[in-house]
Amino acid sequence: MTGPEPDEDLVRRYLAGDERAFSLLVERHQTRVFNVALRVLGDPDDARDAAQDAFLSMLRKLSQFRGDSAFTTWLHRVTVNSCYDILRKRRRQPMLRLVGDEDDPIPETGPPVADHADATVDSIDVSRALLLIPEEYRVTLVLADIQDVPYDEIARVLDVPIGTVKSRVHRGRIALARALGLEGPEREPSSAPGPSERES
Amino acid sequence: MTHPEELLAGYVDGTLSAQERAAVEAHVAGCARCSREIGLATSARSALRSLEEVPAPADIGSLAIREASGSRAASARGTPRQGTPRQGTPRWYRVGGLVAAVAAGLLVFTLVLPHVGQSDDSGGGDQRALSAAERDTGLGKFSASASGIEIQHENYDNTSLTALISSIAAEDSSAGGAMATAAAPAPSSTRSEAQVDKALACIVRSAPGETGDLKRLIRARFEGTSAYLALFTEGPGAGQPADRAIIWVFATDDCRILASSLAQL
Repeated sequence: MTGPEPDEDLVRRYLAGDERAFSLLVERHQTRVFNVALRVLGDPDDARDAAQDAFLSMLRKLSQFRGDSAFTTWLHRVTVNSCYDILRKRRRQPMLRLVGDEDDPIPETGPPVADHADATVDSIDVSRALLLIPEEYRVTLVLADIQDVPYDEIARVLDVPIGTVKSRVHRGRIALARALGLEGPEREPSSAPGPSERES
Repeated sequence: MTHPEELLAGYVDGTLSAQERAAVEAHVAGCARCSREIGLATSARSALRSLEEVPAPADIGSLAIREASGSRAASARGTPRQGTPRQGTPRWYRVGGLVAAVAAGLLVFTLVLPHVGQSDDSGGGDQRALSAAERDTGLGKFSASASGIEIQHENYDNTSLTALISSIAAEDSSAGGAMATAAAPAPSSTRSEAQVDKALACIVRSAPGETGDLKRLIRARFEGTSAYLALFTEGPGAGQPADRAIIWVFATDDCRILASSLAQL
C-alpha cells in the first residue's frame, strides 16, 4: 500500500513541466491555507484574498523552494506572510474596514460574551476572542492549537527561536482565556501577560 | 520567583519529558500564579481545538492554477522561461487612483471615503495577478478607471436595479453628460483593492464584450446573493458622447451574471 505522493515530489513534477502537479498541491492544501487565514484575519473575504495571494506567491516562488524544510513549513510561511500583508493594510487604512457587512459571520469588533460562569464557549465566541489578542499571539496559536503545527516548525515558519514560540503559545492562551472571560475574580492584574515578551 | 513559562506551554500540551513535567509540577505545587495560568491555558487550548474546520471556497486556488497553466502554455509556445514559473507572464495590475482616471480622459466623481483610489506602496500583497486571458481582454483599462468600490447594504432586485440605473441616468443628464455620482446613495464604506480587483476580474470573465467606460463599482446583494455591480456608460463611438448606461451584476463567488440593466442617457 502506497501513501499519497509527497508534496516535495509534486513540486519537482511541477517544476519539470507537469502543471497538474500544481493543481494537486493547491487542492491538497487549500483548506489548511484558508483556515489559517480565516482564524488569523477573522473575515472570510479577507481570508479568501489572503489564500489566493498565498497560492499566487506559492506559484511565483516555487522554484525557490529548496526542499531543506518541509513543504508545509514553507507554505505556512507564505500563508502567514499573506495574512500579515492584509493586517498591515488594515492598520494603514482603518477607514476601509467594513462595518456590519452581512456577509461576515464573524463580527470585526465587539467583545465576546463576557460572562462565562459555566466556562463554556461556542465557536463564535472563540473566533471573536482570537481577534482581540495581539497578532503575534494569534498567529502562533492558530498554528499550534488549531493546525497542530509542532513548535520547532512554527519557529521556522515565523523565523523566531523556539523559546519565543513556546512563550507566545503560553501567553497567547492566557490572553485568549481572558478575552473569553474565563478568568475568575481572583485574577491578579500584575500577572497579565502583555504584548511584550521575552525573546529567548 | 522564576516561573517556567517556556515549559508551561508543553505542560498543557502534554509534550514534556517526564523530567520536565516533574519540574513543572514541583514548581506549580508552590506557585498559585502558574497553577491558575495552567488552568486558563488548558481552557483556551480546548476552546481553540473545538473550532471546526471551515471548507475553503471552491475556486480559492483557481487564479494561481490558471496562472500556472498560462505560464506553461507560454512556455510551450517558446516563451523563454527563466527562474520562476511566472516568468514570461510577469505583468501585474494595480488599482489606479483618480489621477489615473483623469489621465485616461474619464471624469469620475466619487464621494467615497478619502482613501479611495490611494495608491498603496506596500509589497507584493497589494498586487494581483491575472490570467493571460484576463490581461488579453484589456483589464488594465478598467483598473485604471476604478478608483474604489462602494459597499452598500442594499439587496437589489430587478425593480430596484432599474430604479438605480434610472436615477443615475437622470443625474447624468442633469450633470451635463458627466456621470456624476454626487447624488447617488451614499456608500457605507469601501473595501480593499483586492475587492476591486475581484470585481474587475468578473467583468473581464463574464462580460468580455463590454467596451464602455467603467464609472462605478458597487458591492451589495442582488436577490440575496452577494454581488458586484459594475456601471458603464457607452456611446456610439467616433468620439461621440455616451448615450446609454448599463449595469452588470455579477455573483461575487463565481462571477456569473445575475442581472443587467440598460438605460438611455
